[in-house]
Amino acid sequence: MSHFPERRLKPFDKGDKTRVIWARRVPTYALVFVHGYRGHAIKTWSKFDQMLPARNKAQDYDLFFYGYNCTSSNTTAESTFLCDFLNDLFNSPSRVASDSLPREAGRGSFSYQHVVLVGHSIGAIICRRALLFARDLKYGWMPSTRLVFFAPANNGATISELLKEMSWFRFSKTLINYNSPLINEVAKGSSFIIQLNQDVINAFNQGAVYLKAKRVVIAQKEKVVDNNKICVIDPNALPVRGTTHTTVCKPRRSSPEAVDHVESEM
Amino acid sequence: MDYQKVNFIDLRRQYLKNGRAAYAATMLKDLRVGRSTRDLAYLLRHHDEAITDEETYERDSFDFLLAFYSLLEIACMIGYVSSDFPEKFREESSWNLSNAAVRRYYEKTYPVRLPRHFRLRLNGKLLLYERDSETAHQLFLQFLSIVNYVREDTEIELFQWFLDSGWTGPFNIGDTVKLLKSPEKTFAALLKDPKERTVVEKSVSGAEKFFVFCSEFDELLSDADDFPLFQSAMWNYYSYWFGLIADDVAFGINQVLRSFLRWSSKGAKGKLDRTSDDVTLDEGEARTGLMKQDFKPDRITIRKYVDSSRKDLAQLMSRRYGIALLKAASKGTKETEEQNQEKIRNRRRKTLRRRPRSSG
Repeated sequence: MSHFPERRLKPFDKGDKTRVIWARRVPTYALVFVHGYRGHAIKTWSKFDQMLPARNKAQDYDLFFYGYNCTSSNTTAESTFLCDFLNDLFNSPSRVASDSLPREAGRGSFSYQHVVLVGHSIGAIICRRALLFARDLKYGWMPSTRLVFFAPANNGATISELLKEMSWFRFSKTLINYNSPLINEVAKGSSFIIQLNQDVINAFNQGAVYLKAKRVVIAQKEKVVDNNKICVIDPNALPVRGTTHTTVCKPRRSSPEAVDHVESEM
Repeated sequence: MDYQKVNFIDLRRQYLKNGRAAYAATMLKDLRVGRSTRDLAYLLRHHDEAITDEETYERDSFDFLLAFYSLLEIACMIGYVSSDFPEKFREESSWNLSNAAVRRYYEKTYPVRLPRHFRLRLNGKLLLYERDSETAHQLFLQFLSIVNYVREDTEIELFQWFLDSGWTGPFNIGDTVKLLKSPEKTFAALLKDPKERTVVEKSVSGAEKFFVFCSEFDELLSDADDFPLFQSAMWNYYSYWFGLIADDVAFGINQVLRSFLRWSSKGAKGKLDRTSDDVTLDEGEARTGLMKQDFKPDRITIRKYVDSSRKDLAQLMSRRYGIALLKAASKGTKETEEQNQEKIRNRRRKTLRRRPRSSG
């Protein structure tokens, strides 16, 4: 087995939602998965935690399933926290690992040459906003990141449609309208969304090429986000047959495309 | 360091030292070295006699300790860790599992198999092995992921507590079911920030996650079809829920599912604008802005969900998964007994051969 069992990154911090799968050998890279609205650190990426460690390329990767408050918080605050987390990952990975990495793994000091950020839906917004914050703070590690997006909400999201795909909300034919800071921020055409896209394009034009996604994967049966024009700087989106907004990032053994896409950018 | 050795140390840190099991381990250590005279037999009594909150916490730590030993039994079975434990750990664990009160707890009061098997393994009396394979190790990691999901989620724990006839303050499973009669209140509970949920709302959210757990666990067991003993051991890890108190669990779960079926009945239409008189738990709570329009149940989705959940539950409660371990244990114990008898016979033969013949 190339990795240890999944666990909480900070077992002594009950508020921390991030899970991690540590590589058994000293890693050179890291993958950070960032879920979307009402997502779960691992469950949003169901089966990634099982299928990815089996891939050869994954053996040199630590796998982080980043968890955050996506119900009562907002994207600005959460992007800042993600930015802090990435900064720690690049500058003091041993400290990040200290609470949950088995000492017997015998790592000593280690560092990540690059970090692949994988965002789903609103998670994609949070990833990009985190990189913009890092740029503002003049951190140096951003060029060592790669972005991979699944059904990104770069042009906003209709949360009521998202709820219709989730849990017991599926039992209602009626759309469920609900107010929360994060939902208002990411509404299609919101000033936040327009501003974010403008900031991304401006920074990209000024040389922040790392803001361009390496790969954008979209669902065939998408109702939550807009597939037509994701973001002008991004490559053409790659659809996965038969998937919806919430299943596009959930590979199955019979349809492992989502894992293939991530592995391609590792 | 050796793969199995690292795995053992890692599991011990995760599920014993860093977990709630540590409390019970310390209590037992104090008893072992004579630092304590605590009456464990009383603490670990059947819950027919009233249990205080403090005792519940302490008893829980024993459940976690037994769960840790159960995980090790499964890990040994598939070769994820070696059965050749460090002597100090073997001695301490053997003492803990042989303690009369603890043994009575897991063998008589709430009988579960894995701690007993692990005790027998530690004493060399029952060594059950599944064939060692990387696939089994992968499945074990999935199992640990499920175990973590359930043990770390306080809302699932609360719902399980209710399923087990437990009360929190004035609330029990009946209140969960009452709230579930209202689609609006159910959605409002699920949409709330977890920190702001009331006890009953937490139990509703816990119920939703418990169904996810059942579905994933059933899928995992099905994936483990090629490893019947290992499959059976994983089921046995949760045999308290799907075996020992299966009737209570089935009753509670069916009540929840029936609530959904009521949503999809004709009368449910338009209920969302009503303050649901029969739901009294959230009085005074700020009403969310959701569902201004009539609730229209998606009958097909509800029916599918109910059918699929019932199927998962029926599989988990059929006890068919428990049989392989039972058979292997019975055969294994017999074999070990026969081997021990054979050893005794051999020793006797040798002794007899060595004994000087009596002269004349």
